[in-house]
Amino acid sequence: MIVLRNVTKTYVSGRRKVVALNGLTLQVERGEFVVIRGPSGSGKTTLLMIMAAMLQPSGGSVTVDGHNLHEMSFREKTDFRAQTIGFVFQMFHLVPYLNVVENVALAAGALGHGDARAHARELLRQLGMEERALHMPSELSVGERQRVAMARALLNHPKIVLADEPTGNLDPENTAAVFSCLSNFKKEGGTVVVATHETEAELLADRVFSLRNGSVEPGSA
Amino acid sequence: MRIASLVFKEIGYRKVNFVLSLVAVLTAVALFVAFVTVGETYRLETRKIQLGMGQNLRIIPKETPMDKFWSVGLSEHTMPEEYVHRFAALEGYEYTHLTATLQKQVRWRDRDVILAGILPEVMPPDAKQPPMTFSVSRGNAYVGFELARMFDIKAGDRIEIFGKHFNVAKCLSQTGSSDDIRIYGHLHDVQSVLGLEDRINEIRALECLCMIESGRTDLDPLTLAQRQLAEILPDAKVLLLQGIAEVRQKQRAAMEGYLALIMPIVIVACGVWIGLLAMLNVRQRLEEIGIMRGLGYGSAKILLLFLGRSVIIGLGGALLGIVGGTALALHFGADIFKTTARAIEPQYLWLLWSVVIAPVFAAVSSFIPAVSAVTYDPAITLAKELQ
Repeated sequence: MIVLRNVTKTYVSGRRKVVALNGLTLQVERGEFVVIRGPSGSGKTTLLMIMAAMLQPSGGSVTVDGHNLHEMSFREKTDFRAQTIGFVFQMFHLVPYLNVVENVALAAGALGHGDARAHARELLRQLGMEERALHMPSELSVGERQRVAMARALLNHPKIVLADEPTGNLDPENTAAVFSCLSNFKKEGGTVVVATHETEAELLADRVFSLRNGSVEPGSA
Repeated sequence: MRIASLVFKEIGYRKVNFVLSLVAVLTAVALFVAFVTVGETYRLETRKIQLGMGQNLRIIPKETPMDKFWSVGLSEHTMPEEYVHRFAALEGYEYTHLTATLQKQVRWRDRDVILAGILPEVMPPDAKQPPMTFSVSRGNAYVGFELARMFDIKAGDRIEIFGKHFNVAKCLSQTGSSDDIRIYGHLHDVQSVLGLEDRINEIRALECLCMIESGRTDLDPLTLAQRQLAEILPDAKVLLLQGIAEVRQKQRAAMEGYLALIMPIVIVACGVWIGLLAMLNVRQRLEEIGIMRGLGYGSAKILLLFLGRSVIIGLGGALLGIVGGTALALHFGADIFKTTARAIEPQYLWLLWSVVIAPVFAAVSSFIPAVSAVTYDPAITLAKELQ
């Protein structure tokens, strides 16, 4: 269960202050599929990064399965991300010198696991990317890169998948493949939080929230 | 994925950065190896020359008038024989091959000859070198070329000198020096013949010029020897034969002086070069570091990723530098430093040290960039995601 209480995040750039989150309170139950929607710059990515312990909030508290992320050391946060979170970035962030299967297997290295290529290939097969396993990221289309990023997020069997605009640049076919994958993850008991514009995601969601003025408002589910 | 696999794949991907870093280590190691190889050859060659020239330190009685000494070639005064043993027992100094002699110009068979008593070489207690001068057994004599020719003396003959009989063990070949009118005997035989028991008039020794060798050119070896011996041999004076060995040794010291000046500059320049390239590498990989942080990679693994790369650069640079430096020494060392090309040999111990030190050097040079990589916040690295 993810619980955010009165979370604030302010970015300071010189004299300019930008309030991204303003007293946000949100609770996501275990096994829930939650969609966060909102216009660009509304703080969706900030919210997901705070949930993933990649960003420190300016105020408030965040607990995941009872663990307060604020009280974790740098190392504990690292372990938390490796063991609990699968993060799908909007920009994919694939390592350019690793091929597709190696990029997916990279996640296993964080946990000190050995060769995870067989598992990586299985995930790629589920996402229809098996034939591209030995290709380099530069040889892939945008949609293919996102599916590789999705496979990488799922490799370590995380409890929670946080996906930031995972289908923002994809065609309908690839969009369907990504949401199908997230839906399957949810059916297996995983928690999914997706920041997206896609209405298709809302069809799969248990709950939908809108992010406005730095805080969430319930939307349609 | 193993860290080693990631390191090698990244090296393959960013070849230019890797090759430039490799060149930095290669340059430092090659220069070091070339200098050390030629320097060591220089040292060995100088030693050979020095040994070939014979003993270079002469200790004579203090009251010897030098005009007389140089005109006759020996001192008419004497000092105790015990001095040679006292000298040999002197600890912490590099004097070897000590020879005590008693020489006197005498009239023998109506001719002027030099009667020379020579004691077998005395070596310091811890020295193990074979003797570099000859010695004569008790009752035997070596006869100089001119005397042997003049009196038709042959090996095996018996000769009588002031009432004492000697077996001629050897007739010496022509030297073109006063040795040709010399008769050598054991020191104690000659002392007996001359009625000068327990007395000598010269000690010769080999002074290794170690002070110059160790780079302390501020200390004149003669002054040093005089200072050291004044305390234990108060009735003696010291002469040091200036020779080609000293000149060469000073050249070598000068070369090592250049090395001492150049190497720190080369090492600092190469270290900065490697560091800057490592920093560039870190900047190129910010996204990768961010994603690895996001995936849950710990600091140790990220650090290993960068330091592992540096160690490979160090190892590769060391191996190539050893080959390059040795080739440099073999091809150009003889011309530049006027040594015998054949004498130049790889210095295996230093080569081994290069293989150990170069990776450490590369890792140290890259340490700050590597640490900066570790401390990068994934959120900052992936800031372009933030909206």
